[in-house]
Amino acid sequence: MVTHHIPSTLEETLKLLETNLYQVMCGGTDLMVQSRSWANTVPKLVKPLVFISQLSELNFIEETPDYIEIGSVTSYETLLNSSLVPKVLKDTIIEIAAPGIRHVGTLGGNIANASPAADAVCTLIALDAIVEIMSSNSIRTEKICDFIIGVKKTTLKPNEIIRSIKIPNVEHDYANFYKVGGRKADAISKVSLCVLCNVKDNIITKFRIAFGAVGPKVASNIKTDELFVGKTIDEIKNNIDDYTKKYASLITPIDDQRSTKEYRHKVALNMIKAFIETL
Amino acid sequence: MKDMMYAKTIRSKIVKGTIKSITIPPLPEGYFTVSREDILSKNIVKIIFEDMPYYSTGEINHLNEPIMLVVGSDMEIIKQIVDEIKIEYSEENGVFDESQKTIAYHFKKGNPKRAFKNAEKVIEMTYHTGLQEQAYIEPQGFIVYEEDEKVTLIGSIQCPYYVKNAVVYALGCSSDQVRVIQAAVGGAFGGKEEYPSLIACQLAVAVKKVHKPIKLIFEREEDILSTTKRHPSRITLKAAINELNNVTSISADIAIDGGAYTGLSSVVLSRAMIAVSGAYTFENLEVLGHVIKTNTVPNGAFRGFGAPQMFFAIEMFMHHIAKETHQDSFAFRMRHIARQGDKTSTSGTFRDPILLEDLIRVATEKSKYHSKALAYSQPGIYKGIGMSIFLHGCGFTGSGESTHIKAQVKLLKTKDGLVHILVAAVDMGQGIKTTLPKIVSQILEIPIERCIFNYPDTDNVPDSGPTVASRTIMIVGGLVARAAKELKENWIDNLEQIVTKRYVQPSYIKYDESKFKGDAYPAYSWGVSVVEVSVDPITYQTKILNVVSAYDVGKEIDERIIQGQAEGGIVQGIAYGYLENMSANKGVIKQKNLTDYIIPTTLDVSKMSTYILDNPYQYGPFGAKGAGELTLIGGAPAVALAIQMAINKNITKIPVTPEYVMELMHDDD
Amino acid sequence: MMMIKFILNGEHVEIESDPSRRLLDVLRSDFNLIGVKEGCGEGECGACSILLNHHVVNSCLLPLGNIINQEIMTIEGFKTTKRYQIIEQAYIDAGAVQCGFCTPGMVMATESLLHMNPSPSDFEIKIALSGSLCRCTGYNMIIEAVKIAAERGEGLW
Ligand SMILES: Cc1cc2nc3c(=O)[nH]c(=O)nc-3n(C[C@H](O)[C@H](O)[C@H](O)COP(=O)(O)OP(=O)(O)OC[C@H]3O[C@@H](n4cnc5c(N)ncnc54)[C@H](O)[C@@H]3O)c2cc1C
Ligand code: FES
Ligand code: FES
Repeated sequence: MVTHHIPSTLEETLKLLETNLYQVMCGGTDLMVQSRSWANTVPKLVKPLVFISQLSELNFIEETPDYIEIGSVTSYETLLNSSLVPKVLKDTIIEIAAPGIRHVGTLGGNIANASPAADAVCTLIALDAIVEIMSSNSIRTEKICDFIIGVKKTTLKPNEIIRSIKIPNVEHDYANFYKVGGRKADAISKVSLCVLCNVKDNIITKFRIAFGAVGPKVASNIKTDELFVGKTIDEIKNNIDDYTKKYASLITPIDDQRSTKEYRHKVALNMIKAFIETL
Repeated sequence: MKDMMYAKTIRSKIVKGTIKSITIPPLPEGYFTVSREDILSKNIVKIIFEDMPYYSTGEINHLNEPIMLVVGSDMEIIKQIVDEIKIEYSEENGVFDESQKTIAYHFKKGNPKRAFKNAEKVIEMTYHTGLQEQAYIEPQGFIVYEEDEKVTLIGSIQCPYYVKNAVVYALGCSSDQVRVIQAAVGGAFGGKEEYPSLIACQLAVAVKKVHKPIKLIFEREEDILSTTKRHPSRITLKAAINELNNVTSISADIAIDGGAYTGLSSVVLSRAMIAVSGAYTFENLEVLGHVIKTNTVPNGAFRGFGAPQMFFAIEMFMHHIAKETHQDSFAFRMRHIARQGDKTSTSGTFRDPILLEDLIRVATEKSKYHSKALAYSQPGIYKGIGMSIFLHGCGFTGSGESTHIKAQVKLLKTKDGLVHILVAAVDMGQGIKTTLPKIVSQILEIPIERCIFNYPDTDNVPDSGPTVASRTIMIVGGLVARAAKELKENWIDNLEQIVTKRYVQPSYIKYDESKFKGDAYPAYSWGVSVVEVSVDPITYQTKILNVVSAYDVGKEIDERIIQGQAEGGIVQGIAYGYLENMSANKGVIKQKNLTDYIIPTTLDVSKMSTYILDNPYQYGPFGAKGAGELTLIGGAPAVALAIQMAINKNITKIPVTPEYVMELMHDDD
Repeated sequence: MMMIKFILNGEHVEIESDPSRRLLDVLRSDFNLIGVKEGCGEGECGACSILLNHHVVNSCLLPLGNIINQEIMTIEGFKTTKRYQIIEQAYIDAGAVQCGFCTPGMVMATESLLHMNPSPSDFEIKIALSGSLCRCTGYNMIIEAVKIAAERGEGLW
């Protein structure tokens, strides 16, 4: 019988994963909920586990000239306390769950879990972050917006693990995260939005938006974003409704137990508009 | 406990229909299923209206209806058995509208017909309120065991004697064969009033079959999906307005959704109907009420018991009438508030002084209600302030106390001078483990440490009635105070002494239940709540900015306990009005856990101020009346009125979710 | 099954168990530490809060395999400290305990906060307790209790 493993090195971990038999357990804040069984019985797991939160090789925050690189098992709390982590990502993290979850939850888990409502994913997509993926004999990188392909779907193979997340080391004049949840803490997003923007001489030089919880995956479209680039702020403000509506087709939410599609759609557009008004 | 067994409930997967077949795998030794075949006497949970079976009869009326228990010692094995049990159903269409009525009540005050005939103007509105989940943090649960023939149940419950009586009825045994012990209760708010009796009956039958102790604890999701909640309602109000722009009569048509089984719904309905006047006096009333039956989880007791629904409707309606008749809403409401000597909605009399004007003055001054209301009425500010005025009848409706409950309390003084307070009242956070000893210690003039209050055990305490209906301090506390006085007069050192007291209704209280006529309650507690909000025009979310309340609860026995009741109650009431959203689609509840059923966190509450005005009630201990439910009632109307002001649209349903606010704000787009 | 070692309330312990089990269950059934409560089993209510290396964590979501050689503190272990006594008295004095079901979790969240931030603002207190649901109090009396504890326990954290 295959049983759970708690490896002490990354190498050992990758070797185990090479058998394609295991599922990775990191902070557990998604996986333990999903495999919830009956109190005081073992969780309902599809595959045996390889625990990774103890791997120090994956627990780091580093700065290179091009990137801030974050090890996949680094906890949210650690990120909040680091001076290297971009402010907009911290602003996002502080809106995730509550302290008890933030002490153990990770970016790796948030990304691999690939929920359309994942808050960190929303911001990382806007930031054009790159996911570094590793198996025992390869390392590959992928843009996070390509890595996540649908509800709970990524390109991760059973023998792979997310090693790190690389965030391009660029400054933004505006970098905001907005979350609309059912309440002020411990809430899953009904809709969320990360917007990054640079302005030079009254002209937009960068515009990047990602929306959470409005479709099967966090939504973004560089082509739409580029329609803003090169425009003056006045041009955009004078035609604010037209510019806002350019995102309408990107926002394809559903009705569920948390909200309605009309609400999500409207609020997502309202938030873009409200952002433009702050420029 | 040695040899503990565990139980897991198998529940229906359909909303309506019948069970065609149940296939149970071969069970290992020591594992059992327990279902209706094992019942020794009656398959009915003894509540008011006896229609709810505790093991499905084969006819399914709601999703997650309990069918059987799987009992055994290893939880992993139980889990496997549960997975292997196959049930086939023949499914039918459920009913979710008002077409099935189980209970219909009607009453009148004065001559409503004439009032409507002579009216200058008639205004009508319909209001809707949603489900609310008690969301006590500790789920339901029991441990049951058998000693000789006797069944003992230990549980997280509000009403030990309800459980005991239900189990005696279910087993068909004598009363001394059942013992119920209350465990520490992690909050209840009505949710552990009648529902635990159902689990208790299931377990009593089970323990008679397996003869080993059994533990059954609900999972959160199971708790949310299968236990009772606050009744949704549809309330249509019609007002007759005279030439002075006053209301001469209200006609009300009230429907509350009892879910699949009626249970306590009739009592909830009467509370709602009696509350029809709000805290106002109307000379003439015509009130029609129905409990409707739908194929959803049964609804039941929840702090306020029908009153929160009605107060939301009447407060919104009063405001609406003022607007429709172009008058200042505050002045209009003040003209109608109840005063001492007025006839109540059931033609009884408000005998005691009413401090409403003082309460309103305190609450409006401390909240700056008038200046803020003026400032916020400008467009584009998106802020609002709402005031609700309310009352709550203390104790059971009508002659319930004297005819049904007949409460008894006992004080036992031991030789060494300890006084045991023997009552069936349960402390589930509302503080009676402090308040009752405080009453006894003050009367006997002995240190509070010498007054002992323990968790009730039906083998030791008399039936002082359930811990419900804001009755514990006023009724039970009142009896305890009387017993203490008697003990004081007859106190003899070094002698064991027992004093027993039984409830006697004040002689002036006369009530005809069938006609809704007379004094429905011996006394009323009163309150005014002011809630201030802002609404975000981008996200349509409401933020609570400030809450000020003033109450008349007779006399506060412990300041901090009243403050705790006040803050906890109003937070639940406000959240009922704008935050807590539970909806069912064709009998399927959509919000099934605490992730999706949103209750407030620390970050959702604002500053709260509570003011208590003294107005001692002759028959309450030191003048105290009820406080437990009152504080919840004003929350929803106050927050809804505040949001209404902030967005300048008519609100007709709660919860006022951001989705609903969006709809209202764009209804003219 | 696996031998798992960790530090529980200051003592080295080991247990032969399935590492996927919830720490909550292990604490309650294997170590009989029943001050840890289960209110939801899905990380929402905070009744199961414990300290993992001094940080508040929901033990209903913490698999045993994640705590090897880590320090776990439950309310039972914390009870022996001076800081607990200060917090407990503050909770009583402020009227922060009604049914008490949320209290152990609230107290753990309080300790976690004061450990990192001995003189928190109201807002910081609210954030620190935002993962613990209380259905009885309406919270303000609990927030008051934390403020009182921070004041009275000055120097202890
Ligand atoms: C009460 C509560 C509130 C929450 N609130 C929010 C919220 O507001 N916003 C939000 O975005 N999320 C929220 N979450 C979800 C969750 O906390 C986050 O998604 C968290 O980041 C998951 O990280 P983890 O390490 O706990 O993941 P785990 O549960 O350990 O893993 C999740 C998934 O990712 C896989 N995985 C983990 N790490 C790796 C890796 N390095 N390589 C490959 N695969 C991996 C696992 O196999 C699993 O499938 C909440 C959860 C709870 C319980
Ligand atoms: S039981 Fe763990 S958070 Fe509720
Ligand atoms: S005191 Fe009851 S849940 Fe907090």
